[in-house]
Amino acid sequence: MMAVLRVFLFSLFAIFIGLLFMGIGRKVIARIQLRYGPPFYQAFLDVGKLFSRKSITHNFVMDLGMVMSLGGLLATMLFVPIAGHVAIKTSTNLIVIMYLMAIGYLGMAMAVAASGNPNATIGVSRALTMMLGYEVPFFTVMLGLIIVNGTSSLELISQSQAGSILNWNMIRFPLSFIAAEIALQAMMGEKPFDAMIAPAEIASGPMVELSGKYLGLAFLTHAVSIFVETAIIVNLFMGGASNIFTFVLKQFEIYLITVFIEAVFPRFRIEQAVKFLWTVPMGIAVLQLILILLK
Amino acid sequence: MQELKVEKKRSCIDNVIDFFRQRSIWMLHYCTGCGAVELPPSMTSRWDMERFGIGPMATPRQADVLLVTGYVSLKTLKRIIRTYEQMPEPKWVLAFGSCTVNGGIYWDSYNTITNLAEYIPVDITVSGCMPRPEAVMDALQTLMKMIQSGEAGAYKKYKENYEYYKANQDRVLKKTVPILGQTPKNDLEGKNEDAKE
Repeated sequence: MMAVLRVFLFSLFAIFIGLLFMGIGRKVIARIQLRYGPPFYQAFLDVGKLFSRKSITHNFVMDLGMVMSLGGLLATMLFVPIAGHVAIKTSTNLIVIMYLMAIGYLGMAMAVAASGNPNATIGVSRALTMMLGYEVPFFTVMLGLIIVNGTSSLELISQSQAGSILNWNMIRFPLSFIAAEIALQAMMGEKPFDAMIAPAEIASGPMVELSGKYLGLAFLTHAVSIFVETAIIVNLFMGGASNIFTFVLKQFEIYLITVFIEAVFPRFRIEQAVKFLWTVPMGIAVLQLILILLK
Repeated sequence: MQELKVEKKRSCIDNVIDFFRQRSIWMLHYCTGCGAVELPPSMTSRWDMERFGIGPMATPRQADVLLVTGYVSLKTLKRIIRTYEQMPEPKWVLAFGSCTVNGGIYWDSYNTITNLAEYIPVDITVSGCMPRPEAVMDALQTLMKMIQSGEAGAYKKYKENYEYYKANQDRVLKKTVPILGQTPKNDLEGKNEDAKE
């Protein structure tokens, strides 16, 4: 009973923080473009409206896929330590996270492929291609940190950076951090790497057939993915945190960097994006890996 | 044609749902006429619609409000009706410019319609040629007030009086059938016509 309650509370917390970040991100982008911008709670209003609308489903697979994508990301979230708290304790959670994170995107792919819209299919094929692009450098970065710490437990990796700011992996392995930041940008689907959404080109890609509650679920999925991905970076490079407020603040700093990049950059084509991800961040990550191995 | 009955008694839940709906209006990013040129300044930093939660969306499935910006030719009307019927409820229509009210400068054209409200239910109209961005913002804010008070329910009118609208649509869309070629066929949903386009 307690475990169920715990999982439920963790999920609510992740969704709340993710939606708050999305709203603040829109406000920040608006300020950069010299606009006043929507209120910071706009994402909550959007989701509230979407769940109150009529929605159109195409078949059972679409329903299942949408729930699977949210469920997959929430399952990932349960393994990520948040300021010392973790819903499900394991000793090798980094590997579990790496596996579970793909499930969310595969669920989304299933749902939108079932809708039968060609724009959605193009969008999802681009999203999966992009996944191929960012996972290789990101896993190389993770591999380096696993070798250094001799463990794949995210808690132990974040505890090993305790003490001063100089112990943070961000300072000790700056090249890894840069590579992970670029991969994170692609992971969140933000501006230079948003070829899968591309509203002017393929009419918002995977979301093209989603109406009402389905789009609401997609919003919640995006919110949880923001939470999970920033939490992983904070644990890997910024030493976690002792209390929940510091943790969320560090997550927000990471999110703010992606929002700044999002606000000023145009869009890569999909093959340019994959080429870039496989050369620049991959090269940086491999360089750091070699430095770690030589040490 | 029946007039729409506005329900006097509204429950608390209705008010809450309508609050969410009026604070997050997504427009369809489908520009039908020359009035669309007024939308970029009202969306970008000069007038900034996004501060009311109004933003452009790419497909009819995601959109709440359909902007018909300017004159409507017969072929455009066909697409507008198809788009309107694809939008999930609740949905609203904002007719934009004099052309959608009485034909504007195209009042005697052989190829445009004069009053959009005969073909799809229109919630709110902005007259002017072109209406300035201030007028657009004013119209959208009026729409927000109408949603909150429950007056903006033209999509219910469409369901109740479908025969009236369908008859009007059929009357003008007959003219869009090509004269040369096949026998005149008059179906809006016609899949064959789609394939050819």
